[in-house]
Amino acid sequence: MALGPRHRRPLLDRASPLRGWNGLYVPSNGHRRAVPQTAAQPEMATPQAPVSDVAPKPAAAVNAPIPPHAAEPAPRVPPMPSPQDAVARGVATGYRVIEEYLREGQGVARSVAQASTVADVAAAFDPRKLTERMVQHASDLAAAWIEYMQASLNAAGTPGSAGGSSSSTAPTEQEIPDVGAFAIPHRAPRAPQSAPQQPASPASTPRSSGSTRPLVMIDLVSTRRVASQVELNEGPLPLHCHAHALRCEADRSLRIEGVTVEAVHTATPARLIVRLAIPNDAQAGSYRALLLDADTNLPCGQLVLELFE
Amino acid sequence: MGTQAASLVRAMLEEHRHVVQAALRKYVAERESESSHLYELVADYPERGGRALRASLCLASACAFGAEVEDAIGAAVALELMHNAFLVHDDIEDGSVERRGKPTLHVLHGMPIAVNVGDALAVLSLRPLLASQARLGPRLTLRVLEEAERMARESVEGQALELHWRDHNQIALSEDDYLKMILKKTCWYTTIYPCRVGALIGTRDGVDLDRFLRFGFFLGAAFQIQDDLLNLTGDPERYGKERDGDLYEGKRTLMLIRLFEVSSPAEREQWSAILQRSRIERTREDVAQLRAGMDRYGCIEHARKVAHGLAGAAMHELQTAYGDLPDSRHKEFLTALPVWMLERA
Repeated sequence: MALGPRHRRPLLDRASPLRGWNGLYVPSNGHRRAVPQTAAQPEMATPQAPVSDVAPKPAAAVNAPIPPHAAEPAPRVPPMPSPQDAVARGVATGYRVIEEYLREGQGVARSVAQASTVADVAAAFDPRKLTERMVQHASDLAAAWIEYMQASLNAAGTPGSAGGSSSSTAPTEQEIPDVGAFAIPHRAPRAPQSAPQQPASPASTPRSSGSTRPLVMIDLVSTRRVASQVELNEGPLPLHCHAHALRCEADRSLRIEGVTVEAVHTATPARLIVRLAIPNDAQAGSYRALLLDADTNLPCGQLVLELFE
Repeated sequence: MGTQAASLVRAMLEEHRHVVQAALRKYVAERESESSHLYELVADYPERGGRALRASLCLASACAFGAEVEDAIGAAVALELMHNAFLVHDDIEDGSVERRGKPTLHVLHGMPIAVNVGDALAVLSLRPLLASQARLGPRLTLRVLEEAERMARESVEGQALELHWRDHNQIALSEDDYLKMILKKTCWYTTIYPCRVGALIGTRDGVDLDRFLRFGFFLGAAFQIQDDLLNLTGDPERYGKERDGDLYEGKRTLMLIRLFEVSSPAEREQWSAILQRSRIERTREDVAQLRAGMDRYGCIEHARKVAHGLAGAAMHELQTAYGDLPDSRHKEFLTALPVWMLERA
């Protein structure tokens, strides 16, 4: 039997792995491409001397396989390329530049860190500077806390005054006037005294609803004409309130007892209900009663009453 | 793969550009009632329709790390404003006459007004950074501001270096010098900072930012070289600047540096004499001579190859910077950028 020509495995283009950037774009003929020397030697200045005889397509260039060793992040020493290869030389130069930049940056960072450490240690032993820093931090904290509290108060609602008229049976409900988001009156301006009304006159109606500011309701029983007003201090409505007796401004010995105050927080907005009954024999004149926070016993406002003949 | 990548990049650039442009208009509009004659000019360059590459890179980097677009929009808008501020001032420094297909701002309105508009854009870029405090909190906002300060510093140092070379007619420059210069002048604010600040926001300051330096550098360097190539070979209609403008300006590009490297001493003297002249004195024939020299010595092809190599290195470094992140559109966008950098026209 005649034997045909023996089949042999074709020679491979490349028998060894690519190990450098300079090999990335070299034609795979198994040998390193001979690169013209002219491009790298300015003195020769051969016109149209090709730097590389292979012009890589963009996609081919960027999709070229990454050499196995290059996948490891460290060490980052670029491989030694053939100096004539534009691509390889560019990449090697790029790595050299960025590594040098990183080294310089790390050097500066180290020196700054050392300097600041020394400075910190020195400052730590300087009681004056340390005190100044502590005061500064405390001041910053206090300022932030005040800002926070102010914002909270604004959100909860500012106090105000309620001028109202008397009623014999129905409560008087009035909302504190809106003074704007940034206005926190030290004491709400006194509303003009309402015109005296007959005790049997119907109660005034609330001006609006939906505000978070407390409503003041005055439940007044009287057979005579009365004008009343409640002034609340700034700050949220206390959880529990009580009131002193009404004292006549003309004669401090004259009093109207039995003023009760109730703070209602279950409703929105919170309500302050003031209840009192005017005795028939009470003397005409201006009266004032202090309203107090029952928990702290600090004043939270006052009730002003004008009793007519 | 190349075309697919380019399509993805184009689509995402367009998407991001709309978001950034809308936010940017808001910041300009809220000041417009105060001084309309200033803010109309402030809006001029941004409205000319750039690609918003830097802002997109910032958003993509943040979103690749899991942030929402709203987290990084302030930094992205600030970057776009700062970029436009740089453009206005660069055009004055370079004596450029065309930007994004229209006359430059100083050509239209004169030098003093253009300088002031550039200043206004730079100052305005602080506003979105400060406004992002509500979303990012004071500590992270301060970190972003630190990065922005470094970016601006590196950029002006790089610009100073290039201006110094031109002012002193430096011709003994190497590729090393060129790459060092563009690392500062271009890469920091075009690619390094957007990647870093995006990652900073995306990880809530939980990542070492040095890992983005190499990727940003190689990507930005490829971008700059391609940009310089387009100035010589691109379609002026699409490129938006005058053809051979860099040669008129005597800009030290990789092609020019290469020309000096490979020319004979006599030719070098000839090129040097051309560059010695001011832009006004430099004639069309001078520019034609430089260009002919570049063609003769294959300087453009050389620069193109270097850009390809740097883009390849960027793809490699991408693995270090973003390789461990889960797959997402944003990661795909980042991966496709090096190819797009070379394919853009």
